[in-house]
Amino acid sequence: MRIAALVGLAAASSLLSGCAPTSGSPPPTEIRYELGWRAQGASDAASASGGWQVTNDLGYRVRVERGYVVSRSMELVECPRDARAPSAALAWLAGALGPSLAHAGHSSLQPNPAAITTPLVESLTAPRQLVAGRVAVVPQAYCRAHYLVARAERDARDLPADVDMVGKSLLLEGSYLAPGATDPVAFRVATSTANGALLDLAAPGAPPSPGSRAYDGAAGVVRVTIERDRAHLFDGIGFASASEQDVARRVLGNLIAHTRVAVVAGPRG
Amino acid sequence: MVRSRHRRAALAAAILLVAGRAAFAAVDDDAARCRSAIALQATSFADTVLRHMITCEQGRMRAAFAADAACSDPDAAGFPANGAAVIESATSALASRIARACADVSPSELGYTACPPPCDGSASSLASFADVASCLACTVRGASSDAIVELFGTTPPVLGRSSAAERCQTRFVAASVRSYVRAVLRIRKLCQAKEDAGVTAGVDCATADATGAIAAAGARLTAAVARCSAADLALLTSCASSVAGEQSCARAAGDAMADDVFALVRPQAVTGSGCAADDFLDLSGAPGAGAGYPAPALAASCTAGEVVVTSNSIPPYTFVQTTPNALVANQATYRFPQSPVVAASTTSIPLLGVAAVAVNGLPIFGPNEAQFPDPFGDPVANAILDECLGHTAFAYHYHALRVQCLTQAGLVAEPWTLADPPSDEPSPVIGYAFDGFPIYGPYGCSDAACSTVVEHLSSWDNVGYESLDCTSSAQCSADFTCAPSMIDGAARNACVPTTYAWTNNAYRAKADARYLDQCNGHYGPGGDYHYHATSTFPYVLGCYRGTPTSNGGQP
Repeated sequence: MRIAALVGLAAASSLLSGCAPTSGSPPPTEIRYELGWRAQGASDAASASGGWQVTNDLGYRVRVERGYVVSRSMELVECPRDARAPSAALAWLAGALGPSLAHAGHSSLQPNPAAITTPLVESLTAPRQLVAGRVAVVPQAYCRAHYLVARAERDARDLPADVDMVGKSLLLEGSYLAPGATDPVAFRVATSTANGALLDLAAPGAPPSPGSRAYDGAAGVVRVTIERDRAHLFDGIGFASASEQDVARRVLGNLIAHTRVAVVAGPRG
Repeated sequence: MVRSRHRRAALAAAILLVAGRAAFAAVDDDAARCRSAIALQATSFADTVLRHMITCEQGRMRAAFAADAACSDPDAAGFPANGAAVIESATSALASRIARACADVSPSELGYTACPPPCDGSASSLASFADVASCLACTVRGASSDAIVELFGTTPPVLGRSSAAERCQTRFVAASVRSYVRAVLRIRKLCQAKEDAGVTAGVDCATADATGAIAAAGARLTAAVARCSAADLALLTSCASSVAGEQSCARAAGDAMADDVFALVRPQAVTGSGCAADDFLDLSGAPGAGAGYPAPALAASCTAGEVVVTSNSIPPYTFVQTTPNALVANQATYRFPQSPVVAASTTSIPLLGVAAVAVNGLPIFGPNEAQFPDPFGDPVANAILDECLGHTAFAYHYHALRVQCLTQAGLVAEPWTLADPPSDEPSPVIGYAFDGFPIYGPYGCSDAACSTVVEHLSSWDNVGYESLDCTSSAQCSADFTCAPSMIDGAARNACVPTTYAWTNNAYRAKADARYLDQCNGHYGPGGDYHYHATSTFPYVLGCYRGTPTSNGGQP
């Protein structure tokens, strides 16, 4: 499993959960999901139409003039039961009282209260840091974050006016200049293919970080930042010989492969 | 050497008598007793027919019968009357004893479907064991006739009673061949009885000789023929003129007859062991799910009347994380009948959980999700699957099937990038339902000769749609999505509900042979029942046509 996390402070606290808050229970924690981009290696295109450009690892200079990607969902995923409890007895209790892992699509129990499931359309030509959504949860021990790129539905946020993104997960328009070539070639890719990442919040094999299992009554807000990387979107794509679907699959794969999650907890305020 | 139409017909019988996947390994007790009785009666009948044909030939060579006596045809006018009567009586006994032993079994359970030519006039379709017995009698007579003509020639010489040549022909050659055939059939009967009882597994009793008993019988035949001399053979119209040649052709005639008779005792496919386990992929060279995941593991075998499939539920191709559920190895064992039988009524597939298994060992679920996120919605229409039409919950599983992901050639990192299979070739087996019937891809032969290949279509229509021919879900209301659907028998894009897939689809029978039944299956041109994966709901199974083995799915 990929290690992709930079953990400042943990996202969760108490080991027991699943019950409605009662007097004496820890107050709900707000999880704030944010989406961001790393851009080192990609430079803004010097043109009136804007956009940006990058040279990929095969020497293709790619220029993106219009593009959108759909962040379909994101959620923190609870730790496995044996990792949540410091003892077998508490593990049993946690299992009895805590919500089960939300097996998406097949759970007969509750949906994951830590999930944001409204699709959000992001511009790839004007990428920015934004808040994707907020949820309030009774504190849990979370070990992973799931991020899904999939097609937009009609209720997606920020649907663009200039192109129909409903039913699409990715759209890119621009041009590429092959190594040694002098004339750029236009390209357009669009797909409804889905791809996602399940990102560890701790090193594989290691227990969740102490902060993720300790109750911290002062931790009122947990900020989860899903960070993508523009500079590697086109790695491994030989545009001249690749079909539109091949390009789309590879772009999505690169997007997911270079996604990281950062979790920072802070006081209420 | 004459290799007659009966030899070819018996080989054809070996092909045509297959109904789907013929049972090769253990069967239930009733079927085992039935087969054992068929084997015993076939051996006894073949011996009786051979004995009287040899007696006829001997009588002709000794001038006891007319020289033109038709010793290879008990129904011919010149065949000795008492021999003909004995054979007729044995024919009746064959039928009655088989019927009695097989009273609780259907012919299809043992692989019988149709009697091949030239015996198709006696019983073209094997709907009962009376038909089986009639087919068996006809074919054994033909195989015996072939052997007799091979050994004696069409007009053996009249040599008189004390001729050494006649003794060579009738005692040392023909009678020894008869003993050899009897021994081989008895040994194969014992072998098959062990297979049927599950004492052994995967032994092909048509060829096996684990104890060397068949080789020993062959050695006795060879030793007997060695008592002939070249001078004897020079006077005969037998199959060879030298002792070595006679030993060889006598052994070959005996083998041919034993093969022909045993092929009717145990119908078999031309290739493979006949066990459904043969359809499961060899994952040893598969690239696997990716770094950090265990290698995919799969084993499939036939035993005690069941097919047993064990898998660690890891896909053999690159895993794409479309759900928050991690891909973990989940050791699973699936069992289903080796000899499926169409039941009197259909059985619903599980609403949640596993309903079938793909040939790569991965489980196949039904055409709906659970309560969340879209209550019991169509997972294909809702686009929450990867490009092999699967995803993870507690284990990776499919909701629909894509042929490229389920063939030996598809064991690459990204099989979804492979070209679509050709539409003019019948699809391979890509899975098995838990009632034992195979699941093919969408394309199938329209007739027995496979003169045309058609795409088979679901007869389930979407009845919850709100509008047709959409190009985007933006044109649909909330809780609807634009997806390819079957609308009144035609595949069209439609705004269909995202929830309650079973409620929003209804089975409507259609006359066109391309359309499948309620369970998403049909009887193919060969008479075998099977399912097809389709591009619209229910994608794999609508119900079970046979009796399923429970493998943990929730109703």
